[in-house]
Amino acid sequence: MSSDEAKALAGRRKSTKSSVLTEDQKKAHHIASEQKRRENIRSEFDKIVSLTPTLTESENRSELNILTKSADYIDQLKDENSNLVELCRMKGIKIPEELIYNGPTSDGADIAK
Amino acid sequence: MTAKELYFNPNTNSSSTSHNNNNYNNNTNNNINNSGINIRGNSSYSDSDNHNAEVFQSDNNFDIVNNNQSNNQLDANALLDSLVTNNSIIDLISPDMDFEQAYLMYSNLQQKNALNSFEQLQMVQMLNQQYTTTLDGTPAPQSNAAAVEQSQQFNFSQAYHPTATGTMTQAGSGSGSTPLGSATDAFNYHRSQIVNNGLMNNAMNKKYAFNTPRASGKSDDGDDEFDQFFSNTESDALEKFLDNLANPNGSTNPLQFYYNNIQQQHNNENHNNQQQASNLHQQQQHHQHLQQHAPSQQNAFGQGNDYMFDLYTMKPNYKQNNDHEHLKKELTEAFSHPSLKLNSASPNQLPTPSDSRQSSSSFIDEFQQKDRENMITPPTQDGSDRKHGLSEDDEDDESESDYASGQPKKRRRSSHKPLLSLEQKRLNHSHSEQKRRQLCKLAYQRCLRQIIDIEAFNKLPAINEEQRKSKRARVNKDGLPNLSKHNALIRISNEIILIKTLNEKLKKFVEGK
Repeated sequence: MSSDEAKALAGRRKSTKSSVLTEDQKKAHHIASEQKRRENIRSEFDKIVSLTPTLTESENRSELNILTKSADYIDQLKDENSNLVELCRMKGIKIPEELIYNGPTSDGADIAK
Repeated sequence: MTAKELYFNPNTNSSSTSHNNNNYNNNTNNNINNSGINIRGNSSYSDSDNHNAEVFQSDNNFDIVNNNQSNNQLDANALLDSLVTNNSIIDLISPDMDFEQAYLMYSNLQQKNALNSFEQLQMVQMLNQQYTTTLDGTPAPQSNAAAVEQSQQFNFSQAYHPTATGTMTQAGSGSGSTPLGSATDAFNYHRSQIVNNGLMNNAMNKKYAFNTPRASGKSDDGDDEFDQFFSNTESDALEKFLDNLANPNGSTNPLQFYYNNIQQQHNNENHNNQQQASNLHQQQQHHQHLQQHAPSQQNAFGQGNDYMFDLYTMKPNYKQNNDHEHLKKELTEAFSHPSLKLNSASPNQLPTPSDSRQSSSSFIDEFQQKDRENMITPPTQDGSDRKHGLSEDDEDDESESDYASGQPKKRRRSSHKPLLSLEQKRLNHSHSEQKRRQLCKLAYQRCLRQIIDIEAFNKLPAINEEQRKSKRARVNKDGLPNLSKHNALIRISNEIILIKTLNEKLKKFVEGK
């Protein structure tokens, strides 16, 4: 069996697989995917709320509130890190460079990959 | 068919609508054709064929008495015949003619035909009197001049009454001025009923019965112009006439039902109620009203055809106006507001039409004023009134102070705040949603800047499409990294955890020292 024939068979399988699904199945898959996506977002929001001390479970769980308070908390952590680094320098304590926060490490190159 | 059968003929009921007028006319035509036979066949009322001849010869006296009227009628007939024979009325009413001209011609035609009907009724009345006197055996002299007038006068009825024309050739004499006795009174009524009914129906057939064969050569195409008004009027008149005959105490004049018909149009009350005791106040008032106008009716009838002319032409005369005004006053007082009754100068004095008009207008004004006070202000279309809650509170405070001062204009504004229209509500909702989304977007962008180095991201080289596995774009429309929400939240949480870890290690360093 040549490589061309294998590709043709693979394509045929794909087409047959897609055609096997009925419209109800497609709809059910779409609904399940959407529910999964929302559940992942909800879990991440719960994680952020658990990490952020200014956010509580009984508080408003709106997206705006979570994003705003989490961003504030990140800024607060940045300020804390810079304050600790300055304290160590004042005390003459050598600290490793990796403990100094210099901003986000990711440049977003992995987004579309 | 006997006279009683004719009397109880259901076709003479006035409740017959305009839809069965053809039926009515056909049946009455049969009654006309059979009227002469019925009279002769009824042995209790007539005993020979000569009576019919005497009946029609006795019209000479009527012509002597009503000589002027018959001349007028002849003129009217001549004009009517000229209109009918030369051209049809439809042809006369050309499209170029105005409505007023056509209506004037139409109304004149109706007046003339109404006059003809009334003249026939009067002739038959006189004929009945002469017939009664003939039964008493008191012949009356007959003049040749009256015969000439009679021949001219009866030219109209001859054309539509062949039986009468045939009996007229058998000239006989019979007329008298003997007063009517009580025994012959009832017979006179029935006799006049039969003949009057026949002639009236004859006149009606001339106008409305289209299937009746005509003895004359006159063209009756213009008769189709008549509407149902005169048909109904004559039907009502015939019913009242028969009711009058049924009442033994009624007036001896068979034509008096016309006057009663005029007054009974307002309350549908039978004129026989004059003998019955009525406990209703309004009926008593109307009863007195009828008694007050009874002499004037008799005078009007004695003066000739003016009253009937006004009836047929529907031109209200002076007395009718007084009746209508009096009735209008009574109704106005009955249905007026009680406060207006109390405000009247004297309880017994009826308000004049101008007073009632003013009182009703003042009442309407008062009602409109109250309605205006209680009216809810419709919502304003511009959103300037609801922009700020503080301004609304100020308005409420101001309106409350105005309400205390008693100004109705401010009272409206205090009771209800200006309501938002549906469009305003929709715009407000969309504006709020856009504002919320913008805040979310700003917070998300802030988070993105905290988790991704934007400067490094902008310096990234373009991705080769062949190397690209994901279909997702790297940059969104705002120039920021095109992260999914889940991915961005993960990065945010990771960033928080990262910074927390760094800070904890730094704290250990500080505390370890």
